[in-house]
Amino acid sequence: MKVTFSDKPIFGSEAEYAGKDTGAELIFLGRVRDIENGIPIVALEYEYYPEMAEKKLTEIAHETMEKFDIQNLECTHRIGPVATGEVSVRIVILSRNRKSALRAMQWFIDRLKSEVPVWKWGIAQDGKRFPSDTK
Amino acid sequence: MTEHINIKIRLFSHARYHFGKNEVTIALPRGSSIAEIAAELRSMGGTKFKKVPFRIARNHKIAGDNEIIREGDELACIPPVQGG
Repeated sequence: MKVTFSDKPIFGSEAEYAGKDTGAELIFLGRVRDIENGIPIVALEYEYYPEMAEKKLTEIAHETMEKFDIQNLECTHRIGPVATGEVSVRIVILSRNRKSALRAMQWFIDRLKSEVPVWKWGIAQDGKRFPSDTK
Repeated sequence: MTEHINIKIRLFSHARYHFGKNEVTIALPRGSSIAEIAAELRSMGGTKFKKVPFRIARNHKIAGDNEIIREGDELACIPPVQGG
């Protein structure tokens, strides 16, 4: 654990919009763990259904913008092999206050994980690939 | 005689794993429903595939069981998703 006070600038994301009225910038990074379905892995390989996934993720992002009082939302999801420890998904939400951003983030991630056609394949230490059972 | 149409279904994740390919083609009577093609796909898969839950997407949207398949539709077998 580490806590610090600093007299130096603290840098946020490079999200497109951060106005003077932006009070909260929430950054979520999802990372690849080293165990999948109880099996040690060296990477996950993300597979997606491009046409449907892009449409669905855009739809969920629009719904999140409409449902919550937030100013911007940006999301990037990795596809293909991602080594353990690397970031698989990055979401940035900007809003006037933190409560809206926190609620929007939870809602957006839950929808992403349950509706966007993306799947994980584990890559074991011996190189074998297996479709993940994690939902 | 009943006219048949050939329907291609894209496969992902567990479906791709159990079928060992990216897509399958199924011949079904014209006017068949999503439920009928799902049942046919289920019967074509191996023993382990029978335990895999899935839905069918039609033209990039999850389809209802009673929807009728049209020639030229893009179908996909969608096992439970795992993004994030």
